[in-house]
Amino acid sequence: MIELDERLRMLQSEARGWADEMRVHALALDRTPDRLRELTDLAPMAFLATAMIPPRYHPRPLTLSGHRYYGTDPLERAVVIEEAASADCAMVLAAPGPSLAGVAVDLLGDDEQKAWFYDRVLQRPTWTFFALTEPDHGSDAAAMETALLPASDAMARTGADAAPAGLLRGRKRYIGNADRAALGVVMARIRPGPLGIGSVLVETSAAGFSARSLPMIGLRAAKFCDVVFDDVAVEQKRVLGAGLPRTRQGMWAAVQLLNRIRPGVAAMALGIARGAYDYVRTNRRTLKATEQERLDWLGRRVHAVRQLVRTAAVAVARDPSDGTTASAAKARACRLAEEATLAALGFFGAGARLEHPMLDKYARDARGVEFMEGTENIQRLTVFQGVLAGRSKRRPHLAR
Amino acid sequence: MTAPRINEARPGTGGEPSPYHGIAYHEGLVPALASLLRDVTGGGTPFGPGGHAVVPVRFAPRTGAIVVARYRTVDGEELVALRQPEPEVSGVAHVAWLLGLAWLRLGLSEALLETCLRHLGQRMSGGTSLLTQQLVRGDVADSAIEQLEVHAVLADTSVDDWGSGALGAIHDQITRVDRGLLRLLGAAGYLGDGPGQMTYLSELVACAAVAPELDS
Repeated sequence: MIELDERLRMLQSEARGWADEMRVHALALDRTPDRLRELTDLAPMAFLATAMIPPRYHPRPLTLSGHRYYGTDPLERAVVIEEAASADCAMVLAAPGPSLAGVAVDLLGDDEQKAWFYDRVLQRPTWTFFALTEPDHGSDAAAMETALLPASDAMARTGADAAPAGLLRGRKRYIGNADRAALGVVMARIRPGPLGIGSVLVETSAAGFSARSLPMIGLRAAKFCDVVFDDVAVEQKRVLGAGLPRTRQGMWAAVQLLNRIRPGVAAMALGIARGAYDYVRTNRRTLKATEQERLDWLGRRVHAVRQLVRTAAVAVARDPSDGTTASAAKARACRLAEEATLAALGFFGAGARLEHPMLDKYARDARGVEFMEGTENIQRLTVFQGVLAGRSKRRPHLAR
Repeated sequence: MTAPRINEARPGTGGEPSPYHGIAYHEGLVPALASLLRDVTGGGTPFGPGGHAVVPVRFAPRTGAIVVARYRTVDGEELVALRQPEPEVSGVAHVAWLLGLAWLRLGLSEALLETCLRHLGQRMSGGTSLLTQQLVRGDVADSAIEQLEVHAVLADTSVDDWGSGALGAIHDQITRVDRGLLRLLGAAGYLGDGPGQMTYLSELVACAAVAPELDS
């Protein structure tokens, strides 16, 4: 069992206070997602706004009793995200900050790019986006259509004095925060061939960039968007990974990034499940025997998945190339989120979704984490590959 | 408001599905609900055991009920969620309404399966359709099996005493089938103007009508 040390228990306690602040605003934010800008001063938002910036670039991390928290450690993130998501997962997703784009910059950026990106994010609450998924092909890299047109075409079209790397043309879909972001990372085809996928930094103020939020069943504050790149000029200095081998620029980098992020997504799903479980405990003080059994079962499931999520976080910190446990945790946690939120409604009888709008929100939000960073079937395939490769290390005690 | 007189929903015959199943499958939630409401309640509002109902707006009573929320279908039709100030004292589920609603939701669920097949057939991965992937085929088959079971149970004309518990469990089963199908749609199943919205409204209508079974 993974137990938190004093440092992480302190962070967890702080995050529980944040969750109390967030919970108050959850339903209003669900109704009116644009109210998010009024909430950037909340303590949890302030933490998330600069979380995951590497220590070298982060002069003012959260500090509690002398302990510093950069949010770069996956277990640290899992602890915070579970608490915050138990109050409002949408607010976690909608928070300003480096998020996935920041991880991509950390993986692929040179020193100048990192300094530029992290400095932008530190100046004020800044939203970012990470664009991989496409409308017609999902995350199928081989079929990616968004492309960086060659520089000669770009100069002819823009007449720019500075030599841009190219013009970005294409569409992405379900991109969180894109219509409120200032900058982000876009994965695109930057050269022909199987190793032609790369990443570029884009500012949303650039000519040709547009984003439109999509109507969603839940997680409404997160504002998943359609994004269009209509010949957006990209300077050479904004192409990520230029100094890295081509094998490390494209989907290899995306896999590393998603492995790092996946325990956090699992923690979001866990948080939703726990939020629903806590809601029942708070609002149903007297239970019949069968109801108590069912609630106890839910509690055991939440505890078990929490352990799996933390195990995954530790595993990814040790080896970011091995996403087996993270995939298991994500798959398990997302399924638990749906089951727990439906089960929680069962404690309040007919009309529960109407009389308990927070439970209705939990149930709607629970479906949203399923397709993030890979659906359940994709996670199952990753787990299978890991089992085959012997990476799950499920039974070290059997080794001879 | 007095409880509407509950008539027999139009049953199927000899194991055939009730007409609400076909209307839901071909025309969608609101036309099927309207048909069921006309047949079962004579146009009245079937408040569930908690005093709630989710109905097309034209079926909402002009007085005596509180509007809790409003929803739109992808076709632009409006539904309202209602609460009676004084719920029915007996709390007895309206069996005919629940049975007709189960057939209706099954019809929606089967239409959702067709939507999934179209979507998966057009989505490619690694150069082939998602429908060629065994995991996807397995999930589709599992959903179809559940739907067949629900169909068989509802069509069992030997049952002449449905309890609200049994019907609650069937509604839960339909909800779980729908959730499995929506997972196959990925993010497309989460759009507010897509099939996920219709499924959400299907869950809401059931939620107002009957308590979920805790151990489903």
